[in-house]
Amino acid sequence: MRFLVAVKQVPDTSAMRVDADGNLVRQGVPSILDPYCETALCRILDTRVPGDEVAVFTMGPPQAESCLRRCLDLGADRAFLITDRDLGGSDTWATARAVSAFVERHCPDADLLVFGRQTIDGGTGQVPYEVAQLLDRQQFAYVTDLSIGDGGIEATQDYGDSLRRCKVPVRSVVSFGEVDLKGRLCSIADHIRAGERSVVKIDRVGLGLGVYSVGLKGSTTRIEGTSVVKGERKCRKVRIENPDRAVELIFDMVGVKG
Amino acid sequence: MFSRQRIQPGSPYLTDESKLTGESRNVALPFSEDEVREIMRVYNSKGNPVTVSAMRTGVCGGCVPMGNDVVSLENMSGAVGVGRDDRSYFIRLLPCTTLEELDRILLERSFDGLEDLTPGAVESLSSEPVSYFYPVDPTEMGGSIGGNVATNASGPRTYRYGTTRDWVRSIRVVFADGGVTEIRRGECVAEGNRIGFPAGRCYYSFDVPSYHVDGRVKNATGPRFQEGMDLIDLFIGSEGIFGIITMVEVYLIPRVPTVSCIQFFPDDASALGAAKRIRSEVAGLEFLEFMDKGSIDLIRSVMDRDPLVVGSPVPPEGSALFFDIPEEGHLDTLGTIGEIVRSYGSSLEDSWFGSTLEDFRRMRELRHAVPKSIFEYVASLKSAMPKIHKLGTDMAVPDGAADEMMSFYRSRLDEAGLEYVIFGHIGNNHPHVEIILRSMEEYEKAKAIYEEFAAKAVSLGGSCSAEHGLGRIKTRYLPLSYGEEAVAAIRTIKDVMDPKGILNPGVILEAVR
Repeated sequence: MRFLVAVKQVPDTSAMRVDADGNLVRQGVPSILDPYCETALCRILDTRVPGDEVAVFTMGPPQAESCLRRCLDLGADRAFLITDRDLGGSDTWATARAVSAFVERHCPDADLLVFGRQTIDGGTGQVPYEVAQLLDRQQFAYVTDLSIGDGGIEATQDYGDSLRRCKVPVRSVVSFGEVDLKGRLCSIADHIRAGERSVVKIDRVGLGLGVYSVGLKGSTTRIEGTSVVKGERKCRKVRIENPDRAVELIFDMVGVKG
Repeated sequence: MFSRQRIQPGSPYLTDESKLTGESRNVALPFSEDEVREIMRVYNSKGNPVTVSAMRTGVCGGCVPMGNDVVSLENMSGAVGVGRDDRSYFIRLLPCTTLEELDRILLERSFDGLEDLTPGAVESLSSEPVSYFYPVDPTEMGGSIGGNVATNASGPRTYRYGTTRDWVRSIRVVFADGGVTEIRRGECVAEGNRIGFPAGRCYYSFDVPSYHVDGRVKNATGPRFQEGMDLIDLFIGSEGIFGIITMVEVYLIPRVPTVSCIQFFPDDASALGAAKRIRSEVAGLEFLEFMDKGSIDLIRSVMDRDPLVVGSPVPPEGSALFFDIPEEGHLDTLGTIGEIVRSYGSSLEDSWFGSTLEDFRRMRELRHAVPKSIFEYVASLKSAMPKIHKLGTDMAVPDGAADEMMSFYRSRLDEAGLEYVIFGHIGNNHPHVEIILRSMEEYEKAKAIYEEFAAKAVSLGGSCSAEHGLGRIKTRYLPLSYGEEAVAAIRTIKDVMDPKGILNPGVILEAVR
């Protein structure tokens, strides 16, 4: 089985803070492997059996290689970095277009294309489904468990109010919906072994895409501006001795008939 | 006029991380150095003593008041300016700036509004290709810089970078009578064994006591005196008995990219053996920390409930060494370490490796979970046993005595049937032995054994308090370390500078007067 896992390097949003003007302070915030992507990769590494291959790829600036290095440390066999100035500023659709082109050109034999549900920086959660659409493949979202047996690949999807167990055809797109609370650390020996593997770099030409298909030029999203939404909460303090009367009052306030 | 508030029973002003509990009626809350001076003038005129307090992260009760009022510097926090001299950049800080805040300022390069203490320093530091940092790491990053200077704090990175003393460029000090002076290293040095300096309307002058301190052993047992000493060293490590620190300038250095590792071993003897060889054969270690089997068991038991470690993987059973090495050339270094650990029954497969700040944070929190769990445990005993407080050793010994001291710890505690864990700065022969107390009987037994440990450390040429200071809990170790004559000499200096004895009475020096 050949697994291809999409990952992304993101700023560690848990280390970000908002300044007095409501702006995000990005200076000094370390870049990390996105936790959703890391979880997806770890689930695949736990699923694979001897003979399987796990490849990872990311699209980003040259320094995104460090997140691929982490993937290799964790146990991935191969890594691809899609990097080109022309790709800068891609929205989700342009990203999906570049990712799809990469899969078709460089990993057409991947049996399963794996994503995290979303990334913590943008949080749009659109790319996995757009890639599935562009590649004309089935997609399975919110996966919590994946197993491979004699009957093929099976996944459990969490729909919030119900779980669905289903068969996953080969060449599908799967996105894991969870983040592992306990992150994973590789061993020193894993790290030394990973140092022997290289990261393959691919540019726009290597994807076979023109400049108007990628990056800002290939993106239809336009950000007009951002603002901080301030929630206002109106409080009222009422002192009531009778509990039944208090319940009635709460019901009245929230519009529930007792 | 300064702000003053009543202290209610159970107030946090009445304790610190030692869980020693004190008494006090009022807390003065100055917002500026001028207010600190006013407070001291008022209290000195009436002869009323005060206990100086900041973030209350100490573990020896140094900020715990015993009936007198508290002066809390908690409102004096933040960076003031940046400068540069021949040595490096330095940053000027108000006394209650925490190390965490300092680290954040430097990492984010949040220098807006900071003063140029030398021309162009702020812009120059902002445009440096790598960020700078303050390398002293006392593990507790919530402590204040003023408290760190007052106790000459150290920690894991002392192995490579030394103690707080090595990084302080200057301080401002308010004296008992409200006088103030700024002291910069190198500007006032003792002539032989006599030192004098002006402060406000006074001129202080005294003989420098002479007692031997082995500079190779970590030592925070009281102030450091020596012939030809720098005046600034009178205040670093003297825990506020000579004056209140109201400003600190510390040096900064470029942040060195490092990788973090935890190597697991089947038992304590293997880890300790490997530690000795790693220390002698591996260059460039940032620190070398030990966690014995009991410590790892303790961590494993709190992993599901301690929010700080809930995001970390569960360590395997056994003991461990935690170390950072420079990223440059780390594969060669790890190769050397691999050969060492193999000869102690382990392998590089039994380890954790981290190359990001997040990885380091996870490993560090894991290590910090050991003392923190014990603080919490002791706090939980307080309602049933109000007089109990934490009993953890802080002794360091010279290289040649490390094995003997470790054997002594274990044999005495095992003989007494006490439960304990051993962890900490093995790179400096400075592990902490935390005794896990279950009753007042055990507490009394442990206190007696602790005295034996202190005496043993001194007899081996070591120190009783390597990094925590003496506070109120360990005052008896001052005469044990340096002799009664030295204590009398320190008292004489205290009398010169604080004739009414109002500054931190009972801290470092027993409150016998």
